[in-house]
Amino acid sequence: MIHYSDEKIISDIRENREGSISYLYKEFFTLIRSIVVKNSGNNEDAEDVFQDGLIVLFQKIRLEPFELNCSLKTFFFAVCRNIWLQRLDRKWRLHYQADFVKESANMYDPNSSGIDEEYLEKTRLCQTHILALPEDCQKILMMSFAKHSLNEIAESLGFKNASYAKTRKYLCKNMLRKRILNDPEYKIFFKYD
Amino acid sequence: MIRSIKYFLNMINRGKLPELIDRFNNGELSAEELTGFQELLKANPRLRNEVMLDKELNEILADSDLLEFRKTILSVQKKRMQRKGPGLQSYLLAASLLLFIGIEIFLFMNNPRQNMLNRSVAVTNNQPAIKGVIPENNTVTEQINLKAPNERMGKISQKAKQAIAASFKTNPSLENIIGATRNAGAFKMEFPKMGARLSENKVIVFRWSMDKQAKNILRILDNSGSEVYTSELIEEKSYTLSPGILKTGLYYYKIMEKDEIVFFGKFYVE
Repeated sequence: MIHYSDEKIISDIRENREGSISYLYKEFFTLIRSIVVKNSGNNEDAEDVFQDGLIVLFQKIRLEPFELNCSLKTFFFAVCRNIWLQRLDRKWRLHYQADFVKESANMYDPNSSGIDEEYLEKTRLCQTHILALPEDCQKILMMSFAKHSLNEIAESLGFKNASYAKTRKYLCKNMLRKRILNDPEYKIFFKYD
Repeated sequence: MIRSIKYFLNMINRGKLPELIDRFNNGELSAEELTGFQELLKANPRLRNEVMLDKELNEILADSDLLEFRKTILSVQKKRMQRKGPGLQSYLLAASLLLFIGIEIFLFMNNPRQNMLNRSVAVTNNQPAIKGVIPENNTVTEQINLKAPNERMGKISQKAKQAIAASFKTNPSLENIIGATRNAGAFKMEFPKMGARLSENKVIVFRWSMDKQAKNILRILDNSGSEVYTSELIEEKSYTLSPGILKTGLYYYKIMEKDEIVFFGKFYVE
């Protein structure tokens, strides 16, 4: 297997290239899965943690300058472990009203790590629903958030006029909201009242 | 004069809620509208949740780089899954499924009378017929195909099961409108048949006949009553919906002429 240097991985992630992400999966997924599975998780949890770890990595990398005091592997491993421990702690508190990691609070520090595990869950839930929308809905929403005018959207998607593009935009947004509201995970992560 | 809650409810009934929420979160409501909408929010926790969710969605949608990165991750994940192929668990699952089908066939072969009775029950549990709208001879075929969605779910995760079950739940208030048409004598819905089960991956053709020339609009609602699709003005007596626009679930639809509903029906997408 081709070896990717830390610099190559960082530049690939910054430019959203698939190669390094595949490499990270091949190199680290087994390790991350073993941590999760050995600590009350399952395969599905491991997939989520790995995805969230990549998102954290992307967010750190795009904030220039990104400096590492250790190897990327060590950093990524720490991020994933941190996410899983926070998640476990939250689930534990939810079920037993007790801290899961109270005796080893030094194992991680949610404040200093800058990782908001619940935000990662929320973002994953919303983005997965956005990417599951019909193709034209995704385009309308993305274009309107990229500040394209309704006329431009109508022209790009072959709609009759801007007014119809506007109607479709609201329908797509509504469809997205309803799908999230009907998702069983919505009530867990979105607590407004 | 502050606009009353009635004004907003009227807007919501006309399908303007998404627009109101959007304008509220973008700070585009006039001072008068804003005061009224805030009153409505105080009184309606579900609406409050929708508004808050919309706000969070706006932030997530605005970060297009992160969304593109997620797309790449999902694409890599999908390729990985395809490469992995079926594992031991999948083989075990397939074997159990075959065993289950075998038992079902055995039971069916040994109890044909009971199966015939089930078919008759299905026929008598027909949807309320709309006179002159659905040909009588089609009802048997339609109903025999009708099975509870749960029976087809197979071995899938509990979470997914709940989501699918929710998307197939009937909406009592919309069920009451089915068949309540104006101009019933002049309008005949030819396809889809009432309660038809249609494939998510194929085009859906809506076809009707009426004894006059009119421009119609097709509006499709999901089972929560939210409008999920609106056509442009249709001059022909048919409309084709591309595959993938509607996900699995129960849908209601109305054919409108100006502001009047000329037909209200339902179908399932699987």
